[in-house]
Amino acid sequence: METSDIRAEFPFFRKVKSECGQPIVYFDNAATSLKPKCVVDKVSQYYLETSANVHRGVHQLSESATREFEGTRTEIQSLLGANHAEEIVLTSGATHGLNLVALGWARQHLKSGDEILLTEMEHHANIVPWHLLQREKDIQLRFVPVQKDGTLDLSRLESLVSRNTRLASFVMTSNVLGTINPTREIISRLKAINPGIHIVLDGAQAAAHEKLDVCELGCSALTLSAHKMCGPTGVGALYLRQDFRDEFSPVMGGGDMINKVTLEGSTFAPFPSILEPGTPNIAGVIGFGEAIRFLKRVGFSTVQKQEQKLLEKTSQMLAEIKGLRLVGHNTHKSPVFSFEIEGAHSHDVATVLDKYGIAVRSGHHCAQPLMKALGVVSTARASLNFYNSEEEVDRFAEALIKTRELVQ
Amino acid sequence: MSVQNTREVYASLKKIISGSKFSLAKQGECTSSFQTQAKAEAQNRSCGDTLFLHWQVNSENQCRVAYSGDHCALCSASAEVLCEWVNSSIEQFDQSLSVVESVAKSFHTIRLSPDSTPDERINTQIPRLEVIQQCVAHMPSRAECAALPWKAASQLIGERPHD
Repeated sequence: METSDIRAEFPFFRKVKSECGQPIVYFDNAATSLKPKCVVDKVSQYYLETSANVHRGVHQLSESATREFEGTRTEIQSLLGANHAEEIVLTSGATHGLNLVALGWARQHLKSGDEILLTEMEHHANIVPWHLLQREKDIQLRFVPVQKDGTLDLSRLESLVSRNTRLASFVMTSNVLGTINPTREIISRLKAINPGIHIVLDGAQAAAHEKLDVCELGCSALTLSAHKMCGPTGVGALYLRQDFRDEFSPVMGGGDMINKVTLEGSTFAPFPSILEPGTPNIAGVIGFGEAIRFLKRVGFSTVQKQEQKLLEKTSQMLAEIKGLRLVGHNTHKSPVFSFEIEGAHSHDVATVLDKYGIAVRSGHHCAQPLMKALGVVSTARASLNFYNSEEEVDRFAEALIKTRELVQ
Repeated sequence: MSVQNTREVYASLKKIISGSKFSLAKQGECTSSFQTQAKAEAQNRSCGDTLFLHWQVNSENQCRVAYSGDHCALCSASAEVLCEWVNSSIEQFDQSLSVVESVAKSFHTIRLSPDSTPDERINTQIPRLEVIQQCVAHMPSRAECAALPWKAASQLIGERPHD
């Protein structure tokens, strides 16, 4: 698909104008992606034409909703290359997935003195659940450091892992820097020291940009969010390899996750239902399925080709802007750029860029330890996606120059 | 807000910041005859900034409030307006708690209804507060930046040493 054909699927590009009268250049894709019309239509169709609960009803509407809902699970299984659909837990997003691992597995299986390996590059979603667990358990957290160029310092990897390291959980692609971590290499080095280690991957920023294969990666779990993959907000998935999954305990109780309930006690439904209590976000899950079909239609080769083109053009453009400093300058990355403008705060930069119709993020991007490691408090961040165009990069460049004059 | 308005907003903020009298970063804390006796801090959850508000005393037992830290233009200007006001009658600092708290709240009220008129906003005699409020009305997502110094002030009132 050509970029113009892809863009035609997003009403946003035709309909939304900024206050300055020009179309908005949406460069905040690492926060959430735009949604194609087919996804919104699917969500809307569910509410308008089905609107039934899943799994329990015997009427045709419920059957139809269940088919579509479970169809998403199969789409995710196929997207991730998982062996069984029952290895896919539908969640509210990547954060929920990581918390499920902490509460459903680690809380039951870790003992005093056990260690968890993380990195300084993590989103708060992969740090705070472990901090919360530390309030209950005497476990140690170790962190792979980040170097100034925005890559992990893997020279320290072996010294940070031992037989006590029960689990390593880390990000595949940084939401702040776009750094693509050498996931396969890290996993193989960790397993060489501790073959029993469980690997949990935060695929939130990776899943829409590269073909993932959980079996080939050899991970125990992988978490992702639909809304970063052209799908609805409030939905995600957690892949749990069967043997790892079987060690999980339910975290929340309620409807749909039980086998039988008496006043004396409850028995539980098989996986994955046991981890999915209550009425789920049915419309969101159905929309997620459509988003995956849309991504497949576009194709990962098209996604990567366009993102590489945008990465090269934007990198070159940013390097030419005086007074702009890129934070992290490695080249093996997705088109995500954290930057500072000399003498200006990131919020001021983002506020002024917004007035020129450019939407970027500013702040700590829910990664304060990474910010600290890089010696900054906050940055402005432009994150591009496969549907962005080179013309939009040109407009970004013009706006940056005007912004620099105004805020410095 | 148009680009022209943005230009005006930033010009008004820069005017306040460039005439700063109470920024310790600008004056250099060491060269000041004032010494910090108590310090309160407030965090901006969205960008990670920390604003420190200092209760300072000099050898002649004169007191003042000053601020430090790295901040955006709106936060710095808001801190300057706060310090200018409390230092104009520093002996009344403890009594200013309710006003300080309501000013902090007022920015978040403006965030939710940026079209409210100045009359509907908090009615105080604080010089140049209206400039900050107008800036928040122009960029409502930045309400917390403006509120930060006022939040630190209510903490400082509770925490500073009393004779």
